[in-house]
Amino acid sequence: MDFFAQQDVARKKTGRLVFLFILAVVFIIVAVYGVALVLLQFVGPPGNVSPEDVPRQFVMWRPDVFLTVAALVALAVGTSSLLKLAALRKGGSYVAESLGGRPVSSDTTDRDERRLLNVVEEVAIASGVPVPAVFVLPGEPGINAFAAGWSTSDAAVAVTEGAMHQLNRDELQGVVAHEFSHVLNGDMRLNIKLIALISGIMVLATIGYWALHIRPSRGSKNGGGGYAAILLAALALLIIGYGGAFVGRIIQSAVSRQREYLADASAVQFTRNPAGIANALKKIGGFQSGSVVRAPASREVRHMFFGASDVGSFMSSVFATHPPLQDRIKRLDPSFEGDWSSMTPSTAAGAAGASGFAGAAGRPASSGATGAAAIAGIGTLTIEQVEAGASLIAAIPADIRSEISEPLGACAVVCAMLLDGDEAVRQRQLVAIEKTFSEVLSAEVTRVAGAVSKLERHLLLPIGDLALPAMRRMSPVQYIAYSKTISALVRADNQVTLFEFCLQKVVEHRLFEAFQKPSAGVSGVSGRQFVDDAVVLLSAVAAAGGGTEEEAKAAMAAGLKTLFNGRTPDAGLPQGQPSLERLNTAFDNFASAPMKMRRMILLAVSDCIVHDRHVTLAESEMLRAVAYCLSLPLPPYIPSVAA
Amino acid sequence: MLISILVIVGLIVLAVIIVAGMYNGLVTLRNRYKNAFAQIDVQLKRRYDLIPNLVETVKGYMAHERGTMEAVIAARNTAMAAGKAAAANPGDPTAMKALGGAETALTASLGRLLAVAEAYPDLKANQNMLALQEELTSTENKISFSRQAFNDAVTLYNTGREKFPTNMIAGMFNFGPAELLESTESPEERKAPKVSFN
Repeated sequence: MDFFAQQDVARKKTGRLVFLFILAVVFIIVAVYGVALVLLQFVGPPGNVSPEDVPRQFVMWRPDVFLTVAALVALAVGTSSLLKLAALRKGGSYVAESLGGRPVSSDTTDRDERRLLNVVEEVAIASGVPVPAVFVLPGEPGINAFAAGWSTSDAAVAVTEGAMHQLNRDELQGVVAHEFSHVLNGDMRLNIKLIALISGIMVLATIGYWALHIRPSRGSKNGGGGYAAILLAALALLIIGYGGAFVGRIIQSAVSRQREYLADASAVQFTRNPAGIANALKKIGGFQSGSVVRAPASREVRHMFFGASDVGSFMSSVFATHPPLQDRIKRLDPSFEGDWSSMTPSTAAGAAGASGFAGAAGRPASSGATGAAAIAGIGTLTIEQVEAGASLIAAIPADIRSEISEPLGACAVVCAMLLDGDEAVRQRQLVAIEKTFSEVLSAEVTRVAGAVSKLERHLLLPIGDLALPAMRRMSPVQYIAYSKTISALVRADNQVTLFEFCLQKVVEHRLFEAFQKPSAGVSGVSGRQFVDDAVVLLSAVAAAGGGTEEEAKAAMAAGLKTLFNGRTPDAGLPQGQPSLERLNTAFDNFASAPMKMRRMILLAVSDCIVHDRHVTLAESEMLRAVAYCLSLPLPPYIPSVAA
Repeated sequence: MLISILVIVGLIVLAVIIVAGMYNGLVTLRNRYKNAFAQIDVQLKRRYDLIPNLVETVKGYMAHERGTMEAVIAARNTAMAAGKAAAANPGDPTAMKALGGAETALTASLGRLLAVAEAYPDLKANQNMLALQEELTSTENKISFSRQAFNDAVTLYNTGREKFPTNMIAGMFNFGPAELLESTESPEERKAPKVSFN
């Protein structure tokens, strides 16, 4: 299954979840209604007592009561779910922080923390996912980890202190790959929605709990009956709430168990090292603290962890969020020994084949190389890519590495990439930095400019990627100033090159998601608008190929053919290179397009690029910028593999 | 009777949800600025580590400026202790003020040392010295950058806890005010980002 199919599966699962949830809410409403009826019988409305119905009749159907109850329950469950969802949508870091996580700073000197960061960066660069924020859960000796986030741009990976110290590099890589596959399989949103729904159901229990603690005020004369009724109602709410949560937990666990097997399998696929993750699981099994996480808030998110975070209790097979360890290890060990033991990474490197963009697009000779192969690389990882990611990182000079591990340095390096070759323009740019941000930044930019100008071109975008975690540590105020700085730099020479445009898009898009509320995901862009935007984008991509006008036209036609499903498009489409403003709006519109449209756009763009069987760096950067803005994880273009 | 019970339950529901939301919001803001301090802390430590090297380099050239060098070391040790106290409880008014003061003193004494060093041409040309000075400047830039981020986070938290009705929750659950890390006297430190919202 490719990335898009996985996303669709996750979405379908969400639909089923919402259905089960509504069922649970209806059940709760009926239960609360029943309690209200009994209470009513017990207390009785005053003034309604006439001699005829001294033994009052029990009326089963009272629409007024039912409606009031339904409205109240819906209000409580709805508000609480929505609030939780709003909170969780603030991103993975929020979830990690609420569990007491400590962010691992990218300039850490601790050896274990450094190793953890390296592993995460390698896998992130390899898969094309923005490097996530990394957290450690301090004071947790158990071996466990989780990934959280609303989109790939605000994801966070957290591991327990136990995992960081107890696991070796291979095992850690297996665990991190497992978490990344949750990111790539679209499990994070599913998980967050699950948490929100369950907390909505749980709110009734919380209310009951609080209501039980209300004491009647001493002076009240009418206290007796009313107080008893409140107590009774509270008790009933508590029971109903826990009953609902009970059902919610069963749903949570059922969904989670399936996704765990999938993530294990993907982790092996990513690292092609079943031993790594299997050994990590074995360590959990043999380890005294197992995978237990102590933080009380972890109950809510237990289905997000690498291993079961709670100690097994009664009926553990229904409630277990994770399959039994033995089963998981068995699935990893016997089935993979035969398959991959003969395939060492070095021999595998030659067989990159159709997996991954670099493999497909980098082979101009292979006939029938289409964008489809590039798209197949999205959301998957191979050991070649992980290794290539690691060697890409290794190719970055050490001084640049240390600069981008720190917020100011990271901001300065990205600015320096945008500096112009022309001295006069450069001076103007430095003044612009001072004006829009501060002298501190312009001083740093001057300092790193020399080192940055010596960098090989294909390293620039990956460096921008690696700089993001440090840049996310800016304050919102700094972020606003910085985004102004970037656009001032890009516009300083009154002409925007494609590289400048792409870099700005990448930084803006990924930082934007980290600092501002993410969009709802789907917007109502009309079909007509969508086609217009796609055509604008394709003409820019075709122009980026750098060939003659004829070639550009042919490339554009190839892209259009894909876009229109083989049909020839109507006449009257805009020709020539579009303005960057127009391109900008197109990009912004795509960012909120539904998954299906995103897939089509990326397919069309990559067909347009590989049309002439030759991929330039500018073209591959353009493809990356498109993929970034569409929030699609596209593995990086690796020249060494392509050559 | 029924209606009044339902209304009471409804009010409790709303109260619980609202209070929990505001409480969680405050906790998040507090975590934010505490984490932001860690960023300054890294750079402060880096600066403390650089200073002995600097003094060691300078020593060979200006042996009779002992007083100036000792003042730098003393200021560094004071600042280091203040930094440790502040890291244990970021935002605490006394700790932050102490750190701000100690950092100001350290910057001043460093400035005096570097001014004196100007008089020694050999020292000024020393490669090691140049590299150290460069690194020191860069570290100070980084400190001012992350201090800005920290102060922004503290301001957000303080505004959050003073706003109605969150201020009642803040009072109930003991969310005290947090202190900014005040600007020191060095010229680098005064160059905070100029930001305009429009």
